[in-house]
Amino acid sequence: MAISRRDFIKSSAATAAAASINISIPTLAQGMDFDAEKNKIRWDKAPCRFCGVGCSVMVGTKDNRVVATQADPKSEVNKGINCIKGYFLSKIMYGEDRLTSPLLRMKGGKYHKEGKFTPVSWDVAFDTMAEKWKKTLKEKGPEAVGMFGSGQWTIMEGYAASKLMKAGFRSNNIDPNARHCMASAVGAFMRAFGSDEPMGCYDDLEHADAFVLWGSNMAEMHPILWTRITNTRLSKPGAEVHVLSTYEHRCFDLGDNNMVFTPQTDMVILNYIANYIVSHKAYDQKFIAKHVNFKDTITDIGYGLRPEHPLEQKAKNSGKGKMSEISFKAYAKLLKPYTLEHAAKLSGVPKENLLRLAKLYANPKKKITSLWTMGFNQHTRGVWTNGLLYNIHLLTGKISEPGNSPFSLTGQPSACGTAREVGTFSHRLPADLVVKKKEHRDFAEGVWKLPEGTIPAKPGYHAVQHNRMLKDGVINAYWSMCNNNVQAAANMDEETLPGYRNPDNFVVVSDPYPTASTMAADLVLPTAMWVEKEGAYGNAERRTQAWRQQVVSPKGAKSDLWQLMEFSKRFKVKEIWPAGLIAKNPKLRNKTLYEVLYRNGNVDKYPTQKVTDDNGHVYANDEMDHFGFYVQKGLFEEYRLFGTNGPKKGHNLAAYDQLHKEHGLRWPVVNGVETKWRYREGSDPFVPAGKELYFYGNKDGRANIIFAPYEQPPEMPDQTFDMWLCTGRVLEHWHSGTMTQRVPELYKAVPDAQIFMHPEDAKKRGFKRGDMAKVQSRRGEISALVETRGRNKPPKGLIFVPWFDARRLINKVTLDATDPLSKQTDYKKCAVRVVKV
Amino acid sequence: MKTLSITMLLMFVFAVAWAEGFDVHSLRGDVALDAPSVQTSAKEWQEGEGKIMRNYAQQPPLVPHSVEDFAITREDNSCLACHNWNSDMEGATKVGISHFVNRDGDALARISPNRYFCTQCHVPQKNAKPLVKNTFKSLADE
Repeated sequence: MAISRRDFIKSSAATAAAASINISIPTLAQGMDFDAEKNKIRWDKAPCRFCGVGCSVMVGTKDNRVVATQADPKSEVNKGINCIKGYFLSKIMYGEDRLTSPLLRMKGGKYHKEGKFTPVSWDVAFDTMAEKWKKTLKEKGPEAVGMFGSGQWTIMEGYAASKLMKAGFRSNNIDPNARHCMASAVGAFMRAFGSDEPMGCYDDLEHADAFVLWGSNMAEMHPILWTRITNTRLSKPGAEVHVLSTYEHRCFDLGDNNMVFTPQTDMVILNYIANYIVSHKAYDQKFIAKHVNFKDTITDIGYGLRPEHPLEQKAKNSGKGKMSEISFKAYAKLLKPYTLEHAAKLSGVPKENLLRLAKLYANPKKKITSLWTMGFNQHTRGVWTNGLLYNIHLLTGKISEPGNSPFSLTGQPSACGTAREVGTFSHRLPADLVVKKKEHRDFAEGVWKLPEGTIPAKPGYHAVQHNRMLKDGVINAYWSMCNNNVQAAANMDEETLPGYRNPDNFVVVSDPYPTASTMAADLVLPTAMWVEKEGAYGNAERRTQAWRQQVVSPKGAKSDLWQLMEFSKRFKVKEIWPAGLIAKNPKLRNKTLYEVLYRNGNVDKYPTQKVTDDNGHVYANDEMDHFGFYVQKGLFEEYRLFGTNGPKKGHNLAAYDQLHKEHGLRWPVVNGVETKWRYREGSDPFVPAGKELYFYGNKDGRANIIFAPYEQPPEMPDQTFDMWLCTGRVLEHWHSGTMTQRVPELYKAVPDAQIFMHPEDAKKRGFKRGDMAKVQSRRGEISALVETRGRNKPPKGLIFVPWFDARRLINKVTLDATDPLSKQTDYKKCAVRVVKV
Repeated sequence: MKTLSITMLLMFVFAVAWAEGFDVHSLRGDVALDAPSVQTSAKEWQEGEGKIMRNYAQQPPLVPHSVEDFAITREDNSCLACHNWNSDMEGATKVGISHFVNRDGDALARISPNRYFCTQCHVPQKNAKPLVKNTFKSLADE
């Protein structure tokens, strides 16, 4: 017999009362139902759906519904703690407006660009899509189709998508939303170390003596890592926290040395610290002699704007990244102008704070972990700036050992695992391979059992370019999955929306929920999410974590993986490949892309099986049932060949079956053993014996210190647009709010995106806290509530507006300038004004 | 009769609307992407309504009052004045026993430093009507 909630409260109160006076109430148990079967919740691990920290959660299910989630006590990452978002994962799949049918814009019974959304079958949806893709491929070729992917795709989904685009349609026009988030980090890793992703791991957070946050608000964006830093700071004698940001935020509550700097001047501060270390001879001479090269980089490289933009016209070396070898002496000379006085003047940070920071880095006894995310990456000099920080750690030898760690944090749950490691970028292939190198293409074609020349050598369009090319009608058939780029991409009014609504284009958006992007689409595909499918993610410390399907998706919704593979069945090789290529393997002529890519003997190698855990629970696997083989395992095991046999060493992943047993493992994984510190002998099995430290990503085993000067941002406040705008996230919401805004508790915690503003700036413009105000830039405007007392406290002259709120699209205001090397957008600074509504 | 005709009219309108398709509403409601931002107004914190029921036993309790005037800094955590295990503030939910265990599993005398910033897990609520209903079924409702 079940009891009602009210009775339960009453009986709980009675129990509590009874306990307090130490008597028992023998009749109580009769009111409760302790039937073992009914009381049972099945618990199984899964990585969190949200940020790049990669916490593990225990998912509680009952009767095919998630009924609870809690932190995984066995996870090394989060050891039994989640943040507020993680605790509410159980509700993200249950927004009432889940999409359950494909929706096609129709007029008069057929597709029409200006038609209204009409429910259609999956067959009609895919037939319509295939017709558009075939027409586009035939008339304009592979460069006219495109796909926008995600750092929230599972590893297998990203891999299947990359294969479909690069080997199936033979187009490199696939790029992930991770371009907006991690591209500058990737660029800097490749330039300095010749291999992507951090050398350190989260263990550094307990080993370090000092933490330096460069533009990162970890208290809100990486909350569980912040709990670990807080733990170290408060419990380890002498530990200290330095925080640099363009506005005051929650991390300042813990900070020992808090610094608010003028946007873009992080570059000046970084060069000042390097200058301090060099001029005080605080560098590690032995380390430099053994492990480091010095380089200079070409300057005046533009801002990744359209080529006709005056700033690109003016730039001498627009988009160029050439480096040249220099001597230590020459490097020291380049640093000379970056004095304490100069740094303090440009940054606005008091000299004593800067000096304290410089002395910290220079102190050989202090183990330092530096952390950053979007502050460095969403930066028109992002690659340079990431590099300037590596310079400091390399000068002092504070790298690749416990506690000494330049740590590039990541934003999305699988920005590393899927976007970077699988290489779903327009220029990359799995395991750090790139399309422009023939040796790399040859290797990929070998693994994929495809003829030489299948993968095109020319990199495709990057994310920002996608929207420009849609607007210009260059890309005509476009598929966006697992993200909400209409709300994310900068300069929405002038680029994204005209691109999606261009009458020449057919735009498909897959999503579990209606979003800004689905509103702009021509075809919407209802999508299964998170634990409605089996998958794997890779977090910021190289940890790969797999999960089993916990529940069945709403009827009609299908996973991205199912969608990609089903769609591939509609294309025959002979319809879309050139005759010359088919001639290299005529047996492929009449096969479908599905057969060529996914029934190739690798991907379909593992037959259907029962998915079980150690307790004997049985789990669904909808894709395995549908396709008739263990799809996820086959894709993962084929993908794994890139790491174990590929030309770039040190990317070995654990076997799929082992991943299901562990709470994640950090690659390279050799003989089932993970690696905590890359490039360090004793920890990384790829370091040759006796070398101690070896940056094997580069041929000579050395890392590069790359000098780069301060250069101005493309847009700065002036008389007309007199304030800086910085955008970002808040703790309670994930990205564009599609999931978290549908969880009532998270919505009610932060219902509206606000304009965080200095009280005097508000007063000067006639605003009180809680008034609506307009934020305008040269590109567009939004209105939102003014907040002068909130968790973020900007200095005068700067506002912060988060981007989770679909009802006020701040990306109408932001500037689509990018780092010219990484092509990553700078969402952290542009010029705006705040005026009355 | 009048009621019936209105019902029929509504059914007819619905049928036509279905056949002709519809607009996909996002969290913007029916406000077009190129239209100005959706109007909103400042909301008060939910306060004085008693504790907020949890959805499941493992969920951190929500905060049933504003926290704007409470600071958590390195030196002081003002939440603990009422919520620490030994506080005698009536009605204030006391910190759970899980908060006295650190990363290494040691049981501590005081709250574990990795649980120090309360608002990472416990958040107050604004008086705001959810944009979309959530159909999550709480075990408490069984």
